[in-house]
Amino acid sequence: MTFNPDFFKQKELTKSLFKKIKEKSQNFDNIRLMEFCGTHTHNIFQYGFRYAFSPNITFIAGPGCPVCVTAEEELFEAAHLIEHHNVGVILYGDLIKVPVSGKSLADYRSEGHSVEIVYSALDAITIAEKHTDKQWVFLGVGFETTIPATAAAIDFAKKRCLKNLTFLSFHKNTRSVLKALGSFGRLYADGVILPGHVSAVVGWEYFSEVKSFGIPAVVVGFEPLDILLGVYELIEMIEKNDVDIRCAYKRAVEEKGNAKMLEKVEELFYLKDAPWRGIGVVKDGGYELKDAFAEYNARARFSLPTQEFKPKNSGCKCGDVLIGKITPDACPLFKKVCNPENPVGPCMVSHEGTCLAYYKWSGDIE
Amino acid sequence: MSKVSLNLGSGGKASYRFISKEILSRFSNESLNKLADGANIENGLVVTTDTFTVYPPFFDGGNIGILAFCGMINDLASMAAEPLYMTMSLVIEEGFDYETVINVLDEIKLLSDRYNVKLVTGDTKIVEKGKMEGLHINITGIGKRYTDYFLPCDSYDVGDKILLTGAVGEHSVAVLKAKGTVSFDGVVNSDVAPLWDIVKALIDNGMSPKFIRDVTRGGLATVLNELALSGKMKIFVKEEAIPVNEKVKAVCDIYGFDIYSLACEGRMVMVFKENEAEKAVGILKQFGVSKDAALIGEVVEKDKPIVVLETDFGGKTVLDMPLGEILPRIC
Repeated sequence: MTFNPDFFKQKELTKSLFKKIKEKSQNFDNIRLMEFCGTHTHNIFQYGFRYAFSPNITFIAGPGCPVCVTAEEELFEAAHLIEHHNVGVILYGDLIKVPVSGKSLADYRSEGHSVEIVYSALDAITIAEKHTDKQWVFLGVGFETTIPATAAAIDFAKKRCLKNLTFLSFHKNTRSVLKALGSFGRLYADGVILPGHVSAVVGWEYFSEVKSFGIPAVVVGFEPLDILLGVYELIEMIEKNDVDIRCAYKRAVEEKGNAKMLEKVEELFYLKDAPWRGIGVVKDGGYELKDAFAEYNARARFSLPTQEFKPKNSGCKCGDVLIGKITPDACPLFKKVCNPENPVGPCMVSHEGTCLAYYKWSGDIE
Repeated sequence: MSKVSLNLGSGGKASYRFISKEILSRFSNESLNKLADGANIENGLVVTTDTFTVYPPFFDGGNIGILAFCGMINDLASMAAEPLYMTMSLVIEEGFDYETVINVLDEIKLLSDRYNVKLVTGDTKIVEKGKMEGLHINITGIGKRYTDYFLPCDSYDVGDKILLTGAVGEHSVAVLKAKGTVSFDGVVNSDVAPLWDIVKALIDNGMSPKFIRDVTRGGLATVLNELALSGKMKIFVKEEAIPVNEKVKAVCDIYGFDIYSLACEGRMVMVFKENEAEKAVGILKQFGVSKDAALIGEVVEKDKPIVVLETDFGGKTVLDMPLGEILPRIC
């Protein structure tokens, strides 16, 4: 049997499941399903599901936007490298737009500094090889999904003996933040939609500790039918009080994940306590390069500021938004002071950010 | 001192705000304030201008010369004006390939002959190497209004139909591929094409479009939002009615682009009265450039400027103006 990539986009099948969920949702007063991943947040809006089952089912966005959780002090390191070491910075997508003390990396680019956007970490190799007269730093952001790509790029850099490329790891660990939120009673949800891409790397069993917080969770894919299948499974579990971890994305996710990728990550990185923007320092919440790879660690090659970075208090409630405690419209800055052209916090910057999604897609749709 | 960012030219909200805040506030007048693709001046004359900076200058399905000519003629067509004259300014980087300039000029010549548009004046400037990239072209077009009324209309009715002449996003994908931002096997040709023929055919067949706009930077989302804002009305659009190029859709899925924010250079959005809409589609389907024309939505309510999209999957969402630079997603 050949795999049909469009199977999970099928309109009729999706519509009929949509109806089934709508019917079933009548059994609930108001259950809260937290989608951990920013791409889910985005897609749930884009496919028109966000308000489709309300008030019976409410979707709450979680802390799974890689740009949003990158701490200010981390971005400050990147700014410092540009200003004091004249390095070129290579990064993914809209990290470029996040303001740190009023200045974003896009602002540095406008001033003539080298700031390059790439789609793949391996593009960093191409850039560094093309411009050998300059020191380049790749900013590794993202969760377990993007870490293997950073690891592969470091491997390449090592094999090619590149002397002008280092890496700054802002990588974050999803399990640690779920644990941190759950154990402090800050998981404001009746069920968790677990991230499909992360799970493809780590496996769905990885999240089994979520059970200990008394909440069912399902690993979910990203196509319209995937999302509804996950939602259906999750509300069924909530209905039956079946606290377990399931996988509704089996075509991509195995119980134990991708062994090769996990091995590679293990070889290069170790877990450390790391700052999550708006949440604070999370135990084992981030990844750092092991000493054996110090040659490729920007923190080892360049001297970076050691004194604590003190972010200005802007009144931004990204922290509460990130953990699903409030929706963006409950933030006093939302749409008034903070908008996509003048974002105060990262959730309004990133395409995966919750505030941007609400800004773009909520309105009088009826 | 604040600096100019790329967002200002992206055709989305930042562009719109810059024009309102900095241009309209200084140069306000009746023609300009309409913010249309061109302006009705005197004696039925219509004028439009556009500058093209696309790099690299050649991409699948087109080049900067075809783009500049079509941009001009399509802006005139959006005002229902028959193209007559044009001016052309070239700004070229020192050291740029001479043959390429000649090829681009030949392409413009071919099109201007085909549409009988006379180049009546122009300018050429060469800029020191590295001070700009490649070749920039400005074309100003002058045409004559072909209808006995002005476009765009300033009033719309509930029930008015929204028409789209073809699949969206092909131009953006062709250019992003030429730039190396995206890569994939196979070809997506830019939809760049002159659209005066289709507008003329509609008018010759007695149609009275209320609004015509070519979909360029900012994509379908921008045009629909501008329409909703200028008509102060709620527009309801059905996703399943919007023609789609499957390859473009696949690129959007993989890279995380919003297909409705991607640029076209050979597509138009039009508004027709309910009783004309089907006939207009029939006329458009006879032309290659608009063979996939479809009615994609309608005006549903007055005094509520918003665009609502009913998705393929039964839900509803807001289709907002795009927000700046098109960036690939992280994961």
